Amino acid sequence: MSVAILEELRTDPIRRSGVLVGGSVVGLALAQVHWLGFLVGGALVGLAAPTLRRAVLAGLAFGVLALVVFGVELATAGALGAALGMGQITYLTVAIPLVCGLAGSLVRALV
Amino acid sequence: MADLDRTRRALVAAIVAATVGGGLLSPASSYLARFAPFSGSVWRSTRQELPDAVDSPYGAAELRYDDAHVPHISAANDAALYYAVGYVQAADRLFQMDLQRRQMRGQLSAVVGDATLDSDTFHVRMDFVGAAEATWKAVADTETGAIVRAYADGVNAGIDALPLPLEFDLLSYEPAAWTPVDTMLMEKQISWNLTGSFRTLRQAVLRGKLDGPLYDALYPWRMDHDVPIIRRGKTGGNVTADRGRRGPAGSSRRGDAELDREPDAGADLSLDPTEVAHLSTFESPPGVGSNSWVVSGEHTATGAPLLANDPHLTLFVPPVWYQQDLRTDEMTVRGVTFPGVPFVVIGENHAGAWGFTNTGADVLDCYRYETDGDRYRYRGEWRDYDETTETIEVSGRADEQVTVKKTVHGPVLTRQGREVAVAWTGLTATDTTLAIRSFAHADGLEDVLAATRQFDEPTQNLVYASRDGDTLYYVTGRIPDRRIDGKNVRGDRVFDGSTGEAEWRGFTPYGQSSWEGFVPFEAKPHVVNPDYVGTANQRVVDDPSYYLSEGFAPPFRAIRIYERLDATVGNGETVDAAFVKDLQHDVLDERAAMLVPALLDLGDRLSGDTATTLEGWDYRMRRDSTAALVFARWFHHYRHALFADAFDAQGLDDSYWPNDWVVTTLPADSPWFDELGRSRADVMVAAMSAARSEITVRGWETYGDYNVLDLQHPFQLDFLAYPEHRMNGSPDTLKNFRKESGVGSSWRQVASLEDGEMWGVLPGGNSGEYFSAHYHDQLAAWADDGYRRLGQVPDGPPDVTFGGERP
Repeated sequence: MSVAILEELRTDPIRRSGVLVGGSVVGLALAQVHWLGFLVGGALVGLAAPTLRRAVLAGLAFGVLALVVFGVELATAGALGAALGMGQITYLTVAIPLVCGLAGSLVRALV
Repeated sequence: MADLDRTRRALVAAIVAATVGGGLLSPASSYLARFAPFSGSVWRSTRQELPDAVDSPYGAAELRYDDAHVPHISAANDAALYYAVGYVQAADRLFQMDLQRRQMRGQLSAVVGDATLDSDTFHVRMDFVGAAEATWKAVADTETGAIVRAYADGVNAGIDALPLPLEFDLLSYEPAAWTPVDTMLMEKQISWNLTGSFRTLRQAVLRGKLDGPLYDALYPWRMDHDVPIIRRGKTGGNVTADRGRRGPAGSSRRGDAELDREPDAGADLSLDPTEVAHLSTFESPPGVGSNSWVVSGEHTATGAPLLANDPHLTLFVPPVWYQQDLRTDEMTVRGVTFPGVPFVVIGENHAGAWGFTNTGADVLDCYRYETDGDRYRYRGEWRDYDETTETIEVSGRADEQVTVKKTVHGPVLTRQGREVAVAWTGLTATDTTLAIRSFAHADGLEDVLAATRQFDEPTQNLVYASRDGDTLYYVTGRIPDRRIDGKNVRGDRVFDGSTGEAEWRGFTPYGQSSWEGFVPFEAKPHVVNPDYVGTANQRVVDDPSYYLSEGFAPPFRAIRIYERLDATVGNGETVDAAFVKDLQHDVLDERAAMLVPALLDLGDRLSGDTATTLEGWDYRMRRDSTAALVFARWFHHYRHALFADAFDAQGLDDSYWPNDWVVTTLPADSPWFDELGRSRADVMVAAMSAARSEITVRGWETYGDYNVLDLQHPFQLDFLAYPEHRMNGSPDTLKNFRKESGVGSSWRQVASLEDGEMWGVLPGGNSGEYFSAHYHDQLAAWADDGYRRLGQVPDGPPDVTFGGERP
């Protein structure tokens, strides 16, 4: 993806929204098999952001989205309450998509 | 400006690279792999749904779980049935099964580190694996052996196909394949927990520390009560038990020369109390016992027998028992088993119901030897020890080498230069697995008697009742007939192994025994068709034909069982299931009934409102009772005041203290009070003062504030623990709960033989999976005196079909 295309994306709200959605879907899909999916998702939604600040917010938002989806999955399995009661494991699990989403979004500063 | 931009980019690139690299290559990678949302391995078990169909090489079976996650499995034959049982036990209890076999194999340290090295060393030295292998060798070629293989194959199919429980992720290891020897190890484990006792060594230490009169006062050979299991002239039925002689009323000694021989081997050994106490840590905790009773149809409302059983074992997370309901074209059986064991151990089948309590028989002997350092002397010749070096893997540090030594009698336990060889009936090949499977198939009394004959270990009080109206009490397990000069002798001393003193004829450790030196099956205490029998680990019979034990439990629970059954039957009333359930939850503490009057006699010496609180109390250990709280804490401090300082001065910890019966019945003129230099009244008053202070400081108001159930998972992680419950009951009430040692009713069952109704409840849930809705769904009912009605086969299609459709 060239810099010019990225610039175009960043200035077109509709296409930018598409990338945000697509990036989130790709990130979540990858996260089903490996935690690097959170990093990739954060990077994809961050790259489409017009500024680094908004990229960081998008990366964090992707992390929150991942947690919400994961929470729904656990609730469907009847395991949400148990998962929320796991103390340090719960904290770690919550932190992973947030930190990785944020770290991934920082690639916005590179291109 | 360009430099600044480059620096910023470099910094960002470094952060991203560090996140990726650190996550993949540093120790953090393990945490990310286990705990990341979606992909983390701990979350796999949240998605554990059994497949609709499972291949089975043994034929068709159908599995339906009921609303408490109890598997109901039907199959055309045993092999197909037990393959499915193995699969579901792996699905629900795999980590527990693995942990238990690791403990018995001495392999805990390989996954948890050196905290369990002492335990591993003990278990390796005892070579329980060798005993399990000998047992499997005896079982392998039987019909039951083929069923055990099918079960193990089912477990392994579950291991291969299902997500591992989260505990494996937390410890970062995977289980090895399950083997039939592992199932034999489970038999060894429960038998060891029930009968492996170093009481002989403890008593030898005590005899070396205490003067004769003091020892006799604190450790009577026989507790003075009149509620043995088999009561002369009151039991009814066909009794085989005692010799019909009785010592003087109130005596602690009997008039039998051979069985009264004074113990004599303690002093020579100079046993170190600390070393013996160390060995005692590998026994079962104090209070392991049980209740059971069977009432014949002659005294029940329906005219059919009633049977109740609740084994008091260590309360684990998950529970020690696993519920299952099984049927083939030939039999129906439901009840509980130990995870890792295919067959229902306690329960009911199409023809009858049965239960067990611990007999407490002495089936472990200790031997000392003349040695020259490398060899030991045996019957006039010097012999080499059977010696091997075993490796114990330890996580996080170098492996440990352990020398395993054995004599002709059994393994040698050595610490700090003291050597004692141990003979335990479980260290040889045993047929108990055959017996347990036969119970499921038994069509009535005769079949149960035949099965009981094969029940080599552990020594248990079996109660049985059939739909035909038969009732039975029988002591199971092999009981040594120790002989010196041709006469049966007690086993409560360390024998001279070099002369073969009192050794067990026909016993081959780690091999096949012929058992001729053991009490014949027909001579073991039993009653066929008793009117009613109650067992609570008390003395089996007043005057046994053979030495059984001196380690019986205090009789408080037995007194209460017979008190209530005698009253009901004596009044001409009948017993029904509601009565039996109520009796299982009886919380009258006989200690209180015996001691509170003496406390109230202290009058003004009791502080505050103590007398007011205790006056009029009904001695029930209820969670909302203030009097129960005061009594429970007073008893604790009274026992402490009696023994703590005096025993500590002798280097004896609380594992040596006398039991609750001795504490309760210690008279004011006991020589022990002379030894203490204080009167009983003074000790009682001081203990009450300590109790009231403690209650005030802790802010307790009622018994339930103190008597809290707090069940922890072996990992001691808060989230894996069960919710707390305020409990009724005490260590000496029928509703049995021992807060200090974490022991209580590990399964509670009531069976009515008229209509095949059975009720039961577990202290937890049938699933050991933390994320399961059935992790502790029975706990509240268990704590609050509830039951589940068993045997209700779920409607609808099967949850899992094994080996295709059933024909």
